[in-house]
Amino acid sequence: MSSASFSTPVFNSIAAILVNNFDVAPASITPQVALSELGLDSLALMEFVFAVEDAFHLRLPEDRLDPREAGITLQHLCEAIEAQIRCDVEPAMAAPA
Amino acid sequence: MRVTGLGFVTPIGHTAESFDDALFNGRSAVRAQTLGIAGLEPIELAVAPCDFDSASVRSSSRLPLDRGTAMALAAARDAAAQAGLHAGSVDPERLGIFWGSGLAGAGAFDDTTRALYGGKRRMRPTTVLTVMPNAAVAELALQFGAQGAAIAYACACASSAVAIGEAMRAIRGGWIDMAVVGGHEAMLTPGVMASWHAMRVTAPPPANSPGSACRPFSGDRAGFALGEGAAALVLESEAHARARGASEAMPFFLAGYATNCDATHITNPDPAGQVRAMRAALRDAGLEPGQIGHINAHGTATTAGDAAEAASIREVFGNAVPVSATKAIHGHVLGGGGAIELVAALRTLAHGMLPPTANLRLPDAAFDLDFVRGEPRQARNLRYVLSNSFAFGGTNAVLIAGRVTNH
Repeated sequence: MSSASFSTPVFNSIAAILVNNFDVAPASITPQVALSELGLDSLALMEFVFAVEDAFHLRLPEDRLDPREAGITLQHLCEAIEAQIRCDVEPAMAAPA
Repeated sequence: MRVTGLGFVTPIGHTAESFDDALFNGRSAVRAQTLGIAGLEPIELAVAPCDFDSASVRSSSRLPLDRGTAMALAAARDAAAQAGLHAGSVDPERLGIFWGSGLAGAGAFDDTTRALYGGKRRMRPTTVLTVMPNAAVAELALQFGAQGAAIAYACACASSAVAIGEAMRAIRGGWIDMAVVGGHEAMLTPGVMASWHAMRVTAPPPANSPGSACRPFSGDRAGFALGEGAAALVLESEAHARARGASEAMPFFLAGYATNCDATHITNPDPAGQVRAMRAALRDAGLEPGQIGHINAHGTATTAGDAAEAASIREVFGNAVPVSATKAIHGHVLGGGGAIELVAALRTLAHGMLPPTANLRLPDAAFDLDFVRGEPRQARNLRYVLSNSFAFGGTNAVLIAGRVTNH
Protein backbone atom coordinates (compact mmCIF):
# COMPACT_ATOMS: atom_id res chain seq x y z
CA MET A 1 0.00 0.00 0.00
CA SER A 2 1.28 3.42 -0.91
CA SER A 3 -0.03 4.85 2.36
CA ALA A 4 2.54 2.91 4.36
CA SER A 5 5.32 5.08 2.99
CA PHE A 6 3.40 8.38 3.34
CA SER A 7 5.31 10.51 5.75
CA THR A 8 5.49 14.27 5.95
CA PRO A 9 6.18 16.39 9.03
CA VAL A 10 2.57 17.60 9.01
CA PHE A 11 1.13 14.10 8.75
CA ASN A 12 3.46 12.80 11.45
CA SER A 13 2.45 15.63 13.76
CA ILE A 14 -1.27 15.05 13.41
CA ALA A 15 -0.75 11.30 13.75
CA ALA A 16 1.08 11.94 17.03
CA ILE A 17 -1.82 14.09 18.28
CA LEU A 18 -4.29 11.32 17.44
CA VAL A 19 -2.22 8.69 19.23
CA ASN A 20 -1.16 10.73 22.26
CA ASN A 21 -4.25 12.84 22.93
CA PHE A 22 -7.08 10.73 21.57
CA ASP A 23 -5.92 7.15 22.04
CA VAL A 24 -6.32 6.30 18.34
CA ALA A 25 -4.49 3.10 17.36
CA PRO A 26 -1.43 3.97 15.21
CA ALA A 27 -2.27 1.21 12.70
CA SER A 28 -5.55 2.89 11.79
CA ILE A 29 -3.94 6.24 10.97
CA THR A 30 -3.41 6.50 7.21
CA PRO A 31 -3.79 9.42 4.80
CA GLN A 32 -6.83 7.80 3.23
CA VAL A 33 -8.77 7.33 6.44
CA ALA A 34 -11.69 9.72 6.82
CA LEU A 35 -11.95 11.80 10.00
CA SER A 36 -15.32 10.17 10.56
CA GLU A 37 -13.64 6.74 10.60
CA LEU A 38 -11.23 7.47 13.46
CA GLY A 39 -13.66 6.29 16.11
CA LEU A 40 -14.02 9.80 17.57
CA ASP A 41 -17.40 11.38 18.15
CA SER A 42 -18.20 14.84 16.79
CA LEU A 43 -17.03 16.64 19.94
CA ALA A 44 -13.75 14.78 20.04
CA LEU A 45 -13.24 15.54 16.33
CA MET A 46 -13.76 19.24 17.02
CA GLU A 47 -11.23 19.02 19.86
CA PHE A 48 -8.84 17.18 17.54
CA VAL A 49 -9.00 19.96 14.95
CA PHE A 50 -8.59 22.48 17.79
CA ALA A 51 -5.49 20.62 18.98
CA VAL A 52 -4.10 20.59 15.43
CA GLU A 53 -4.66 24.34 15.15
CA ASP A 54 -2.85 24.86 18.44
CA ALA A 55 0.04 22.65 17.38
CA PHE A 56 0.58 24.52 14.10
CA HIS A 57 -0.35 27.96 15.48
CA LEU A 58 -2.95 28.52 12.80
CA ARG A 59 -6.67 28.53 12.29
CA LEU A 60 -8.30 26.35 9.67
CA PRO A 61 -11.20 28.08 7.92
CA GLU A 62 -14.41 26.28 8.78
CA ASP A 63 -15.73 26.45 5.24
CA ARG A 64 -12.71 24.46 4.17
CA LEU A 65 -12.83 21.88 6.90
CA ASP A 66 -15.90 21.00 8.87
CA PRO A 67 -14.81 17.83 10.65
CA ARG A 68 -18.39 16.63 10.89
CA GLU A 69 -18.58 16.45 7.14
CA ALA A 70 -18.13 12.92 5.83
CA GLY A 71 -15.35 12.10 3.44
CA ILE A 72 -12.65 14.47 4.67
CA THR A 73 -9.50 12.39 5.04
CA LEU A 74 -6.31 12.96 6.99
CA GLN A 75 -4.69 13.72 3.63
CA HIS A 76 -7.22 16.52 3.10
CA LEU A 77 -6.47 17.80 6.58
CA CYS A 78 -2.73 17.82 5.81
CA GLU A 79 -3.35 19.77 2.62
CA ALA A 80 -5.53 22.28 4.46
CA ILE A 81 -2.82 22.77 7.09
CA GLU A 82 -0.08 23.18 4.47
CA ALA A 83 -2.17 25.69 2.54
CA GLN A 84 -2.86 27.63 5.74
CA ILE A 85 0.80 27.61 6.73
CA ARG A 86 1.61 29.22 3.38
CA CYS A 87 -1.02 31.95 3.64
CA ASP A 88 -0.45 32.55 7.38
CA VAL A 89 3.32 32.90 7.21
CA GLU A 90 3.52 36.60 6.46
CA PRO A 91 0.78 37.89 8.80
CA ALA A 92 1.97 35.55 11.56
CA MET A 93 5.49 36.88 11.32
CA ALA A 94 4.23 40.44 11.42
CA ALA A 95 1.93 39.82 14.39
CA PRO A 96 3.08 40.56 17.92
CA ALA A 97 4.02 37.50 19.97
CA MET B 1 -20.85 0.67 55.70
CA ARG B 2 -17.51 -0.66 54.55
CA VAL B 3 -14.73 1.41 52.99
CA THR B 4 -13.10 -1.00 50.54
CA GLY B 5 -10.98 1.40 48.51
CA LEU B 6 -9.09 4.64 49.00
CA GLY B 7 -7.27 6.85 46.51
CA PHE B 8 -6.02 10.41 46.59
CA VAL B 9 -4.04 13.15 44.89
CA THR B 10 -3.03 15.70 47.51
CA PRO B 11 -0.40 18.37 48.13
CA ILE B 12 1.17 15.98 50.65
CA GLY B 13 1.36 13.09 48.23
CA HIS B 14 -0.54 10.47 46.29
CA THR B 15 0.49 7.39 48.29
CA ALA B 16 -0.20 6.32 51.87
CA GLU B 17 3.55 6.46 52.58
CA SER B 18 4.06 10.09 51.53
CA PHE B 19 0.71 11.18 53.00
CA ASP B 20 1.50 9.56 56.38
CA ASP B 21 4.99 10.99 56.44
CA ALA B 22 3.68 14.55 56.11
CA LEU B 23 0.60 13.94 58.29
CA PHE B 24 2.38 12.54 61.34
CA ASN B 25 5.46 14.74 61.06
CA GLY B 26 3.44 17.90 60.48
CA ARG B 27 5.32 18.59 57.26
CA SER B 28 3.63 21.39 55.33
CA ALA B 29 3.32 21.46 51.53
CA VAL B 30 2.38 25.15 51.65
CA ARG B 31 4.61 27.50 49.71
CA ALA B 32 4.65 31.14 48.65
CA GLN B 33 3.42 32.29 45.28
CA THR B 34 3.39 35.77 43.81
CA LEU B 35 0.44 36.42 41.56
CA GLY B 36 0.98 38.99 38.83
CA ILE B 37 -2.17 40.16 37.06
CA ALA B 38 -2.03 43.19 34.79
CA GLY B 39 -3.70 46.12 36.51
CA LEU B 40 -3.40 44.68 40.04
CA GLU B 41 -0.70 45.08 42.63
CA PRO B 42 1.28 41.82 42.92
CA ILE B 43 -0.49 39.45 45.32
CA GLU B 44 1.48 37.32 47.79
CA LEU B 45 -0.30 34.05 48.48
CA ALA B 46 0.33 30.87 50.40
CA VAL B 47 -0.71 27.89 48.27
CA ALA B 48 -0.46 24.11 48.42
CA PRO B 49 -0.26 22.74 44.87
CA CYS B 50 -0.12 19.06 43.96
CA ASP B 51 2.81 17.52 42.13
CA PHE B 52 0.49 16.13 39.47
CA ASP B 53 0.66 16.02 35.67
CA SER B 54 -3.00 16.37 34.68
CA ALA B 55 -2.15 16.14 30.96
CA SER B 56 -1.12 12.51 31.44
CA VAL B 57 -4.64 11.44 32.48
CA ARG B 58 -6.87 10.02 29.74
CA SER B 59 -10.60 9.61 30.14
CA SER B 60 -13.17 7.29 28.63
CA SER B 61 -14.73 10.23 26.77
CA ARG B 62 -11.35 11.08 25.20
CA LEU B 63 -12.18 14.75 25.71
CA PRO B 64 -9.72 17.17 27.30
CA LEU B 65 -10.07 17.26 31.08
CA ASP B 66 -10.17 20.02 33.61
CA ARG B 67 -7.26 19.57 36.03
CA GLY B 68 -9.68 18.78 38.84
CA THR B 69 -11.44 16.12 36.79
CA ALA B 70 -8.07 14.56 35.97
CA MET B 71 -7.27 14.45 39.70
CA ALA B 72 -10.70 12.96 40.41
CA LEU B 73 -10.13 10.20 37.85
CA ALA B 74 -6.65 9.42 39.17
CA ALA B 75 -7.87 9.23 42.78
CA ALA B 76 -10.96 7.19 41.90
CA ARG B 77 -8.99 4.73 39.76
CA ASP B 78 -6.67 4.07 42.70
CA ALA B 79 -9.62 3.59 45.05
CA ALA B 80 -11.40 1.28 42.60
CA ALA B 81 -8.28 -0.80 41.99
CA GLN B 82 -7.94 -1.32 45.73
CA ALA B 83 -11.59 -2.32 46.00
CA GLY B 84 -11.40 -4.64 42.99
CA LEU B 85 -14.03 -2.55 41.19
CA HIS B 86 -13.98 -2.13 37.43
CA ALA B 87 -16.69 -1.55 34.82
CA GLY B 88 -18.73 -4.73 34.57
CA SER B 89 -17.54 -6.26 37.86
CA VAL B 90 -20.70 -5.27 39.78
CA ASP B 91 -24.35 -4.65 38.89
CA PRO B 92 -24.12 -1.26 37.10
CA GLU B 93 -27.61 -0.22 38.17
CA ARG B 94 -26.61 -0.65 41.83
CA LEU B 95 -23.42 1.43 41.53
CA GLY B 96 -23.45 5.20 42.05
CA ILE B 97 -21.11 8.18 41.87
CA PHE B 98 -21.45 10.81 44.62
CA TRP B 99 -18.93 13.56 44.20
CA GLY B 100 -18.36 17.03 45.66
CA SER B 101 -16.61 20.15 44.47
CA GLY B 102 -17.00 23.76 45.55
CA LEU B 103 -16.07 25.77 42.49
CA ALA B 104 -15.77 22.75 40.18
CA GLY B 105 -14.72 24.07 36.76
CA ALA B 106 -13.99 27.64 37.85
CA GLY B 107 -10.27 27.07 37.31
CA ALA B 108 -10.83 25.67 33.83
CA PHE B 109 -13.15 28.55 32.96
CA ASP B 110 -10.59 31.04 34.23
CA ASP B 111 -7.93 29.47 31.99
CA THR B 112 -10.19 29.31 28.93
CA THR B 113 -11.51 32.85 29.13
CA ARG B 114 -8.05 34.22 29.90
CA ALA B 115 -6.83 32.63 26.67
CA LEU B 116 -9.81 34.03 24.78
CA TYR B 117 -9.48 37.58 26.10
CA GLY B 118 -5.74 37.30 25.62
CA GLY B 119 -6.13 36.88 21.88
CA LYS B 120 -6.99 33.23 21.29
CA ARG B 121 -9.04 33.35 18.14
CA ARG B 122 -11.76 30.91 19.07
CA MET B 123 -13.45 29.30 22.01
CA ARG B 124 -12.59 25.74 22.82
CA PRO B 125 -15.53 23.56 21.64
CA THR B 126 -15.67 21.48 24.83
CA THR B 127 -15.42 24.36 27.31
CA VAL B 128 -18.90 23.78 28.71
CA LEU B 129 -18.17 20.10 29.27
CA THR B 130 -14.97 20.74 31.21
CA VAL B 131 -16.48 23.54 33.28
CA MET B 132 -19.88 22.13 34.25
CA PRO B 133 -20.08 21.22 37.96
CA ASN B 134 -20.79 17.56 37.14
CA ALA B 135 -17.85 17.23 34.73
CA ALA B 136 -15.95 14.93 37.07
CA VAL B 137 -19.07 12.98 38.03
CA ALA B 138 -19.83 12.31 34.36
CA GLU B 139 -16.31 11.05 33.65
CA LEU B 140 -16.38 8.85 36.75
CA ALA B 141 -19.73 7.33 35.75
CA LEU B 142 -18.33 6.55 32.29
CA GLN B 143 -15.16 5.13 33.79
CA PHE B 144 -16.95 2.66 36.05
CA GLY B 145 -20.16 2.18 34.09
CA ALA B 146 -22.12 3.46 37.07
CA GLN B 147 -25.81 3.57 36.12
CA GLY B 148 -27.35 3.80 39.59
CA ALA B 149 -26.71 7.49 40.27
CA ALA B 150 -24.26 10.22 39.26
CA ILE B 151 -24.71 13.28 41.42
CA ALA B 152 -22.53 16.35 41.93
CA TYR B 153 -22.76 18.07 45.30
CA ALA B 154 -21.90 21.74 45.58
CA CYS B 155 -21.95 23.15 49.08
CA ALA B 156 -18.61 24.95 49.18
CA CYS B 157 -16.18 23.52 51.73
CA ALA B 158 -18.60 20.78 52.83
CA SER B 159 -19.19 19.47 49.29
CA SER B 160 -17.23 16.22 49.39
CA ALA B 161 -18.18 15.44 53.00
CA VAL B 162 -21.84 15.81 52.01
CA ALA B 163 -21.30 13.66 48.88
CA ILE B 164 -19.79 10.89 51.00
CA GLY B 165 -22.53 11.08 53.59
CA GLU B 166 -25.34 11.14 51.03
CA ALA B 167 -23.87 8.05 49.34
CA MET B 168 -23.89 6.31 52.70
CA ARG B 169 -27.58 7.20 53.06
CA ALA B 170 -28.35 5.92 49.54
CA ILE B 171 -26.66 2.59 50.31
CA ARG B 172 -28.32 2.31 53.71
CA GLY B 173 -31.67 3.15 52.14
CA GLY B 174 -31.25 0.27 49.71
CA TRP B 175 -31.24 2.41 46.56
CA ILE B 176 -27.75 1.23 45.57
CA ASP B 177 -25.19 -1.25 46.95
CA MET B 178 -21.95 0.50 46.20
CA ALA B 179 -20.60 3.96 45.39
CA VAL B 180 -17.46 5.74 44.31
CA VAL B 181 -17.45 8.87 46.47
CA GLY B 182 -15.30 11.85 47.29
CA GLY B 183 -14.47 15.20 45.82
CA HIS B 184 -11.92 17.50 44.31
CA GLU B 185 -10.92 21.09 43.85
CA ALA B 186 -8.36 22.52 41.44
CA MET B 187 -8.61 26.26 41.13
CA LEU B 188 -5.09 27.57 41.56
CA THR B 189 -5.51 29.82 38.52
CA PRO B 190 -4.93 33.58 38.62
CA GLY B 191 -8.52 34.84 38.56
CA VAL B 192 -9.76 32.34 41.14
CA MET B 193 -6.80 32.85 43.49
CA ALA B 194 -7.29 36.63 43.24
CA SER B 195 -10.98 36.12 44.10
CA TRP B 196 -10.07 34.28 47.31
CA HIS B 197 -7.44 36.86 48.17
CA ALA B 198 -10.01 39.62 47.73
CA MET B 199 -12.19 37.99 50.43
CA ARG B 200 -9.35 38.51 52.94
CA VAL B 201 -9.49 34.94 54.21
CA THR B 202 -6.15 33.76 52.84
CA ALA B 203 -2.98 33.84 54.91
CA PRO B 204 0.06 35.82 53.81
CA PRO B 205 3.15 33.59 53.45
CA PRO B 206 5.78 34.43 56.12
CA ALA B 207 8.97 35.42 54.30
CA ASN B 208 11.28 32.85 55.86
CA SER B 209 8.80 30.03 56.47
CA PRO B 210 5.94 29.96 53.95
CA GLY B 211 5.03 26.49 55.26
CA SER B 212 3.82 28.10 58.49
CA ALA B 213 1.31 30.41 56.77
CA CYS B 214 -1.73 28.46 57.98
CA ARG B 215 -1.85 28.19 61.80
CA PRO B 216 -5.16 26.64 62.89
CA PHE B 217 -6.37 27.46 66.42
CA SER B 218 -3.25 29.52 67.03
CA GLY B 219 -3.46 32.88 68.78
CA ASP B 220 -1.74 34.43 65.75
CA ARG B 221 -3.72 32.61 63.04
CA ALA B 222 -4.18 34.59 59.85
CA GLY B 223 -6.28 32.54 57.47
CA PHE B 224 -5.76 29.60 55.15
CA ALA B 225 -3.61 28.53 52.25
CA LEU B 226 -5.43 27.54 49.07
CA GLY B 227 -4.85 23.91 48.18
CA GLU B 228 -5.85 21.58 45.38
CA GLY B 229 -6.42 17.85 45.14
CA ALA B 230 -8.89 15.00 45.13
CA ALA B 231 -9.76 12.02 47.28
CA ALA B 232 -11.98 9.04 46.53
CA LEU B 233 -13.39 6.16 48.53
CA VAL B 234 -15.29 3.07 47.52
CA LEU B 235 -18.23 2.55 49.88
CA GLU B 236 -20.42 -0.54 49.95
CA SER B 237 -22.80 -2.28 52.26
CA GLU B 238 -21.35 -5.00 54.45
CA ALA B 239 -23.62 -7.53 52.73
CA HIS B 240 -22.48 -6.48 49.25
CA ALA B 241 -18.80 -6.54 50.22
CA ARG B 242 -19.20 -10.02 51.68
CA ALA B 243 -21.24 -11.35 48.76
CA ARG B 244 -18.65 -10.33 46.18
CA GLY B 245 -15.77 -11.47 48.36
CA ALA B 246 -14.23 -8.00 48.71
CA SER B 247 -10.80 -7.89 50.29
CA GLU B 248 -10.85 -7.31 54.03
CA ALA B 249 -7.43 -5.70 53.93
CA MET B 250 -8.97 -2.32 54.70
CA PRO B 251 -10.46 -2.34 58.22
CA PHE B 252 -12.42 0.89 57.91
CA PHE B 253 -16.09 1.74 57.95
CA LEU B 254 -18.26 4.83 58.03
CA ALA B 255 -20.23 4.94 61.25
CA GLY B 256 -22.21 8.14 61.05
CA TYR B 257 -23.05 11.27 59.12
CA ALA B 258 -25.10 14.38 59.52
CA THR B 259 -25.59 17.55 57.57
CA ASN B 260 -27.58 20.68 58.35
CA CYS B 261 -27.42 24.42 57.76
CA ASP B 262 -26.79 27.35 60.11
CA ALA B 263 -29.18 29.50 58.08
CA THR B 264 -27.90 32.53 59.94
CA HIS B 265 -25.19 34.11 57.75
CA ILE B 266 -23.45 33.42 54.44
CA THR B 267 -19.92 33.31 55.86
CA ASN B 268 -20.04 33.78 59.62
CA PRO B 269 -20.32 30.31 61.19
CA ASP B 270 -22.85 29.67 63.95
CA PRO B 271 -21.61 27.38 66.75
CA ALA B 272 -25.20 26.34 67.49
CA GLY B 273 -25.56 24.88 63.98
CA GLN B 274 -22.25 23.05 64.31
CA VAL B 275 -23.29 21.64 67.69
CA ARG B 276 -26.52 20.33 66.18
CA ALA B 277 -24.61 18.74 63.29
CA MET B 278 -22.05 16.98 65.53
CA ARG B 279 -24.76 15.69 67.88
CA ALA B 280 -26.81 14.44 64.93
CA ALA B 281 -23.78 12.58 63.54
CA LEU B 282 -23.19 10.96 66.94
CA ARG B 283 -26.85 9.88 67.09
CA ASP B 284 -26.60 8.54 63.53
CA ALA B 285 -23.61 6.43 64.57
CA GLY B 286 -25.21 5.41 67.87
CA LEU B 287 -22.23 6.78 69.78
CA GLU B 288 -21.71 8.88 72.89
CA PRO B 289 -19.29 11.84 72.69
CA GLY B 290 -16.82 9.96 74.90
CA GLN B 291 -16.48 7.17 72.34
CA ILE B 292 -14.89 9.52 69.80
CA GLY B 293 -11.12 9.15 70.07
CA HIS B 294 -10.07 12.05 67.88
CA ILE B 295 -11.52 15.04 66.04
CA ASN B 296 -10.21 16.19 62.68
CA ALA B 297 -11.41 19.77 62.86
CA HIS B 298 -12.45 21.92 59.93
CA GLY B 299 -9.79 24.30 61.30
CA THR B 300 -9.39 26.86 58.52
CA ALA B 301 -7.28 29.20 60.70
CA THR B 302 -9.59 32.14 60.09
CA THR B 303 -10.30 34.27 63.16
CA ALA B 304 -14.05 33.66 63.17
CA GLY B 305 -14.03 30.09 61.84
CA ASP B 306 -11.71 28.62 64.47
CA ALA B 307 -13.43 30.52 67.29
CA ALA B 308 -16.83 29.12 66.33
CA GLU B 309 -15.53 25.58 65.95
CA ALA B 310 -13.56 25.66 69.21
CA ALA B 311 -16.75 26.71 70.98
CA SER B 312 -18.93 24.07 69.32
CA ILE B 313 -16.47 21.21 69.94
CA ARG B 314 -16.13 22.33 73.56
CA GLU B 315 -19.90 22.26 73.99
CA VAL B 316 -20.36 18.75 72.52
CA PHE B 317 -17.21 17.03 73.80
CA GLY B 318 -15.86 19.13 76.67
CA ASN B 319 -12.09 19.24 76.50
CA ALA B 320 -11.49 15.51 76.71
CA VAL B 321 -11.26 14.57 73.03
CA PRO B 322 -7.97 15.41 71.24
CA VAL B 323 -8.31 17.78 68.27
CA SER B 324 -6.12 18.26 65.18
CA ALA B 325 -6.46 20.43 62.08
CA THR B 326 -4.58 19.19 59.03
CA LYS B 327 -5.23 22.13 56.70
CA ALA B 328 -1.97 23.51 58.08
CA ILE B 329 -0.08 21.03 55.88
CA HIS B 330 -2.30 20.30 52.85
CA GLY B 331 -4.00 23.66 52.58
CA HIS B 332 -7.68 24.28 52.20
CA VAL B 333 -8.85 22.05 49.38
CA LEU B 334 -12.35 23.58 49.62
CA GLY B 335 -14.90 21.22 48.07
CA GLY B 336 -12.35 18.38 48.12
CA GLY B 337 -11.27 19.11 51.69
CA GLY B 338 -13.84 16.92 53.44
CA ALA B 339 -12.73 13.87 51.45
CA ILE B 340 -9.01 14.53 51.95
CA GLU B 341 -9.56 15.09 55.66
CA LEU B 342 -11.52 11.83 55.83
CA VAL B 343 -8.42 10.18 54.32
CA ALA B 344 -6.44 11.77 57.16
CA ALA B 345 -8.98 10.35 59.63
CA LEU B 346 -8.60 6.86 58.14
CA ARG B 347 -4.80 7.07 58.24
CA THR B 348 -5.13 8.17 61.88
CA LEU B 349 -7.24 5.06 62.55
CA ALA B 350 -4.81 2.88 60.59
CA HIS B 351 -1.88 3.84 62.81
CA GLY B 352 -3.62 4.42 66.13
CA MET B 353 -1.70 7.66 66.18
CA LEU B 354 -3.03 11.23 66.23
CA PRO B 355 -1.48 13.75 63.82
CA PRO B 356 -0.22 17.03 65.25
CA THR B 357 -1.67 20.35 64.16
CA ALA B 358 1.33 21.84 62.40
CA ASN B 359 2.29 25.44 63.15
CA LEU B 360 0.32 25.45 66.40
CA ARG B 361 2.85 26.66 68.95
CA LEU B 362 0.60 28.76 71.13
CA PRO B 363 -3.13 27.98 70.98
CA ASP B 364 -5.54 30.89 71.28
CA ALA B 365 -5.95 31.39 75.04
CA ALA B 366 -9.72 31.53 74.61
CA PHE B 367 -9.89 27.91 73.36
CA ASP B 368 -10.24 25.25 76.04
CA LEU B 369 -9.51 22.12 74.00
CA ASP B 370 -6.90 19.35 73.96
CA PHE B 371 -4.97 20.21 70.80
CA VAL B 372 -2.49 17.66 69.47
CA ARG B 373 0.59 19.70 68.58
CA GLY B 374 4.32 19.36 68.17
CA GLU B 375 4.55 15.57 68.09
CA PRO B 376 2.07 12.92 66.97
CA ARG B 377 0.35 11.24 69.89
CA GLN B 378 -0.13 7.51 70.41
CA ALA B 379 -3.79 6.57 70.91
CA ARG B 380 -4.45 3.11 72.28
CA ASN B 381 -7.65 1.40 71.15
CA LEU B 382 -8.57 4.22 68.79
CA ARG B 383 -11.92 3.22 67.26
CA TYR B 384 -13.70 6.35 66.03
CA VAL B 385 -12.56 9.62 64.45
CA LEU B 386 -14.94 12.50 63.75
CA SER B 387 -14.28 14.87 60.85
CA ASN B 388 -15.91 18.29 60.56
CA SER B 389 -16.56 20.26 57.37
CA PHE B 390 -18.22 23.65 57.69
CA ALA B 391 -18.98 25.68 54.59
CA PHE B 392 -19.68 29.14 53.27
CA GLY B 393 -23.42 29.20 52.88
CA GLY B 394 -23.85 27.68 56.32
CA THR B 395 -23.81 24.00 55.36
CA ASN B 396 -22.29 21.79 58.06
CA ALA B 397 -21.28 18.17 57.45
CA VAL B 398 -19.92 15.74 60.02
CA LEU B 399 -18.58 12.27 59.21
CA ILE B 400 -17.59 9.61 61.74
CA ALA B 401 -15.19 6.91 60.57
CA GLY B 402 -14.42 3.73 62.45
CA ARG B 403 -11.96 0.86 62.54
CA VAL B 404 -13.08 -2.74 63.00
CA THR B 405 -11.61 -4.16 66.16
CA ASN B 406 -10.98 -7.77 65.21
CA HIS B 407 -8.09 -6.85 62.91
